[in-house]
Parts: sequence; structure tokens; C-alpha cells
Amino acid sequence: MTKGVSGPEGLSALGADYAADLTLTTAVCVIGTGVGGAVLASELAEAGLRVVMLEKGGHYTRRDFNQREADMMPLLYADGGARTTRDGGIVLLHGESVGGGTTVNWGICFDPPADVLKVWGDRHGVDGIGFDVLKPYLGKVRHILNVQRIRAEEVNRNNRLLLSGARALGWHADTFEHNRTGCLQSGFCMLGCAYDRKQGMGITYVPRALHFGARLLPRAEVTGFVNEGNRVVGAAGVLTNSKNGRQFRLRVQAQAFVVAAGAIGTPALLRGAGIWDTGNQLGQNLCIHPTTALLALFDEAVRGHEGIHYSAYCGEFHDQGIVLEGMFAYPGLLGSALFRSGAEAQRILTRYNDAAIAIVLLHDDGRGSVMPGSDGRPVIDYVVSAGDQAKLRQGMKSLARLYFAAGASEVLIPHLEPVMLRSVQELDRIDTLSLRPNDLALFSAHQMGTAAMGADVDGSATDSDGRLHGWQNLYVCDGSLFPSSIGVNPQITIATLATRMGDRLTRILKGQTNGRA
Amino acid sequence: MTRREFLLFTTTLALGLLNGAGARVAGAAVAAAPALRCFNQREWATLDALAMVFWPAAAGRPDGRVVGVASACDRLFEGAHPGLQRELKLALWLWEWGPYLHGEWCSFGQLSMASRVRYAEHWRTSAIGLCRRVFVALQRLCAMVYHMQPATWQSMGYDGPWVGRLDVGLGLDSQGAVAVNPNPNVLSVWVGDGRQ
Repeated sequence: MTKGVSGPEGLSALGADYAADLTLTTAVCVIGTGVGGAVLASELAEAGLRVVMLEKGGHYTRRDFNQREADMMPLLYADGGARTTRDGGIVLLHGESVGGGTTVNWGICFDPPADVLKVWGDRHGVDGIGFDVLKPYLGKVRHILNVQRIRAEEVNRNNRLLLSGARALGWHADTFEHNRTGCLQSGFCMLGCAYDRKQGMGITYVPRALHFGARLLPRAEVTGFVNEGNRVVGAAGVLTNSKNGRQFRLRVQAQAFVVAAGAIGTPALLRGAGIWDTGNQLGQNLCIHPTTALLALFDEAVRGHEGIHYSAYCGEFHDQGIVLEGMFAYPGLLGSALFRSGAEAQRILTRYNDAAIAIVLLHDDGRGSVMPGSDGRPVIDYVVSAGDQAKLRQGMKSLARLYFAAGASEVLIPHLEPVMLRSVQELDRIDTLSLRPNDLALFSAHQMGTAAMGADVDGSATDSDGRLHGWQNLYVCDGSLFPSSIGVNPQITIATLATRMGDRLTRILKGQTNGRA
Repeated sequence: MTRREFLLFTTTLALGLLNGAGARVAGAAVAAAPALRCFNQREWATLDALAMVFWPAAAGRPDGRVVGVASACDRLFEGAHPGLQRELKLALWLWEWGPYLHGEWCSFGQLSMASRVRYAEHWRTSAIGLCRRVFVALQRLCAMVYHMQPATWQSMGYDGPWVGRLDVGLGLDSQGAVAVNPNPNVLSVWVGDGRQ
């Protein structure tokens, strides 16, 4: 049930046209406007709290999204999409603009997995995290983002091939739920939706937060904090004028500070500012859903770049920590993903329209870390565990089998040594592939776990409220909070946790001030 | 960095410095770069030569030089974090001077095309992790930038963006009034499930 309020506010007044130093006082300072920060800011503002949102990246809208990789990647992705683990072996894609990852994601929605939530409660001691407890928060998130099942007529041929291959083998497969409304199926979600149909934070929770009185400062980079004992009293940073590049000082004083810069940005910012938790866990426990992509060639046109790229999945191996998801990529991303195959890639790319692509996504048990580097960029380490390597091989074999069942003539494994499979009889070749860093093309679009919630201060970075252990008023609100990876696309889980946190933080802050904040 | 990689790095550095003078003379033969924003002329030339190794002339598609891979890389990383720029420049520097480690008394830019291809293959198949890492990073970069350029799209059968092509005719252009978020729930007050 909903009750309408006043109409949408224009976003045009939100440019970063700074002309002087700025000092602000507010109740809550939220750093980051991805799904965690935007949802939390909106919840707090709706509850009547004064909120300032700081975003390191720029504020771009549909008018800026020209659907060209060469222009959009530097604007919308951290390091222009070139960020990797320290050994170069895994590309880490994450958004860096107003809306964060939701500006560039594929809009896939999975409810928080009940079995994972149970583990977080039982094993990690997180309270108030059961699926039934989260249900009201989840309901609100689904409503505002207008989450719905992708309709059969919206599934493009690339994804239909995934469904047909799975069904031919008797495997479970289905379409995703997504947060698009009235999708025009242009297929450019990863470069920002030029038609405002994908319900990213930039057109949902951010305007909602502004509607309820929050303030947004794009191109506002926090560089440090001022603390008195274990209480943060201020954040310091730099404002950059988006037109002329001039920089000004920023100071924010607040009752509470929430860092929501993503599982890479959050620990890098806090540790870089000399802040860590009681048990020194901040930055540890990085989970990334290691992912690789296989490309299959068919004898008839697939034209996977047309329509919704990412609309169906095979969940047959979900219990084993493997999900196969249909996806596609623009030429630049596809070319870079296939780079290891040299001449073979050149041949295949001339058959772009005959290619189907899907990913193997792992519910990882491997672990990594994020630490601030000497040049201000995060240093990211991640080792694909032996168990995850076995899952990778099984996932690739399963996906290749699926594609042959769907009628593929060839399946490409994006390995340093070109591997082109031509029948199911060749699947065993996958067992002998070396998986040293940089051998197999790996990437991650989901980073989690670097400020994990938990009851044990020596084994987690934050408590059940998302508060950094050892600090009175410093919180984290993004995928960092996950005690483990979740095995599915995480945006709805993050949004649900942020809604829950909004409830808890409102009670805490209003309790401190007798309802005035 | 392992001990082996450290030795590789320092040996390349020493050989590069020892032969720096000769290289500067040879640098005169490098193709003239346009006005550059991120890379210097030597780095641009290394990228330009690399693009020709990865994307040589072939029937039906343009080569890496025609597409302008090196200049497009330069534009792409113009505003990148200085640390990332430094990493890329270091990778290009290692690549440029690496031939000394393979018994070639010259830089990458001075190798014949056939030798450049063999040299790239050395790095791709190297047992040294740093070499494979540099190879992967540079090939990934060149491949990405090559395919980002509209000049390559026709040979792939990629139609390109809707913006400025399809959407205007359909009345959906992103500048127009039609493109307004149709989600009715964004600003609604949620009173479901007992919460308000």
C-alpha cells in the first residue's frame, strides 16, 4: 500500500559548482551514494533526521549517458574499469558516481538468501538478521525499486539459449527479477540507462532522500576524520568543481558518520585515515564472487547485444556454490575479456552476432583483503582457493555442456592458452587447465565482506547495527557488512540491510536527542 | 614481487639505463605522436607498436594503428588516478626495454614486426608471473580500446549506441521529455506490512 506525496524534484540543481570552502553541520553524514548509502540516507531523511550525502564521483544523469564505452567507463567506473587485484589476475568492476554500482549494474534482483542469513545469525552472531525479521524492510525495497520478474518476451536470444540448454538437460533455469520499469531493451544498462528505466539509486533513493530533505554533494572526497577518543566528530575532505576543476576544503560535523563506499572503498578510506576496529578485521574477509565468462558460437544469429543482456540463469548448481547467468558485453569489454585467446579472439570477434555468452559465478569461500596503498589507491589481494578453483572447473564444464545441449558449435574458454571446445567429449580439457593468476580471465562485479558484522570483536569489524567495533558513532553501510559472500547478485540484500539499519540508527539517534536531530 | 621478478625488473632497469643514450637516438625514428595528455611520446609509440602486434592488418577489419589505439588509450587515461597512470607507464617501460633480456640489443620499438610477435609470445608464455601480468594488462588494454572505437564495429556487426541513432526517431532520445522515470513508487510513502 502506498500513499502518493509530491512529485519528483528535478536533479539539475545538483551539480558540483563549488566556489568556496564549505563547513556543514548535520545529524548524519553518509559517505557514498551506492545502494547502501542512498537507501540509508533516504530512510534517515524520511524519519526526519538531517542528512548530508557525500559522493566522491560525479553526478551524471540520462543526459550524460551516451552509451559509448570509451566515454562512460572513465566517468562511471572506479579506475575507468581498469581496477584489478594486486597480481592483475582479477578485474574488479565497481561503480564510482552518484548511484554507485547501481548506475552501471545489470539490474538483477535476488532476495536475501534465507540460508545465508541463517548462517550470519547462527555462526557470526548477528542479531535481527533472519529472513522473517528482514521481510518488512525487503518489502519496502522491492516496492520502491518496483522489482518484478522479467517477462518472457523480454528475454533475448542469448538468454533463451541458456534457458533452452538447461531445460534440454533437465536443469533448473528461470528468468531473473529486475528493477527496471517500462524497459525499452536498448541493452546499455552497464553504461548508465539513458532512458531512466533501470531503477538505480540515482533516480530512486537519491531523489527520495533529497525529497525528504537530505543534501547531496557530488565530487566530495573524504580524506580524513577528526575524532575525540572513540567518537568521530568531523570529516574532512575536498570538493572539486565539476566545471573548472578548482578544489575547496570540506568539513562536516555530525552526530554519526556512515561510510558506504563499497567493500573496496570503505576499508581503504577508513584505514587510510588511520581508523580501524578493535580486532583489526577491517579490510579483511574480502569476498568477490569470482566470475568467468564462456562464449559459445552458434550457426545462426544470436545478436546478444540487443535487448536485456542479463535476463536468465541456471540455478541447478546453486547448492554447490555455482550459478550460471546469461549476460552479454559491448565490444570493448568483450574484447578485453577474450584477450587471452589471441588470434582465436580475433576470429571469434568477427562473429560477434553469432556469439552467446554466460558467466560462471561462484559463491566463494576464498578470502582477500583491501588495504590503502601508498598512492591513495586501494591495494586488493585475493586468492582463489583450491575449493573455488574446483568450482570454477565444474562451472565451466557445466556451462559448456549446457551450450552444446543448446546447439553450440564451439565454446571458448578465455584462457591464456586458447581453448576452443567443439563437443562434450572435450570437456575434460578443462580439468587440466592451469589456473595461476592471469591464466583464466576472471572478474568480479560484487565485492563484499571487508567490514563484516558479527558478535565477536576479534573476528568481525562491525556489530549487528553496522557500527565499527570500538567506535561510538562510526558506521558502515554497504556490501562490506556481509559476514560471507551470498552467492547471488547482492543489491537487494544490501538495500534491505540499509533499510534495517535506517530503522536502528534512527532509534539510536532520536534516543540521544529526545526525538530532535 | 617475488625475488625472480625483482631480478627481472632490476636487470631490465640497468640495461635500459645503460643503453638509454642509444635509445634516445633511436627514438627519432618513432612515429610522431599527436598532442598527448597522459603518456609521453615513447610510451605512445610503444602502445602504437603493440596495437599493431595484437591487431595487425587483416581483410575486413582495420589494424590497430588505423583505429588509433594508442591515442585512444591516451585519452582514456587522461583523467585516471596518477597511481594507475604510473602503473601503466611502468608496464610500457618494461615492455619497451624487455627485449634486452631476450638477447636483442635494442628496444621493442626497434624490433622487426616478426620479432615483436615472437617477443609478445615470450611474455605470454613466460614462467615469470610479472611477465604474464604485464602481457595480460597490455593486451587487455589494447583489445578493449581497439573494440571501443566505432571504426571496428562494422567488421563485428555491432550496431553501436541507440543514442543519436534509433532513439531520436522513436521519440526516446535522452534529451527529450519522453525519457522520464515511469516508476510510480519512487516517492511513495510505504505503509505495507505494518510499517509506516
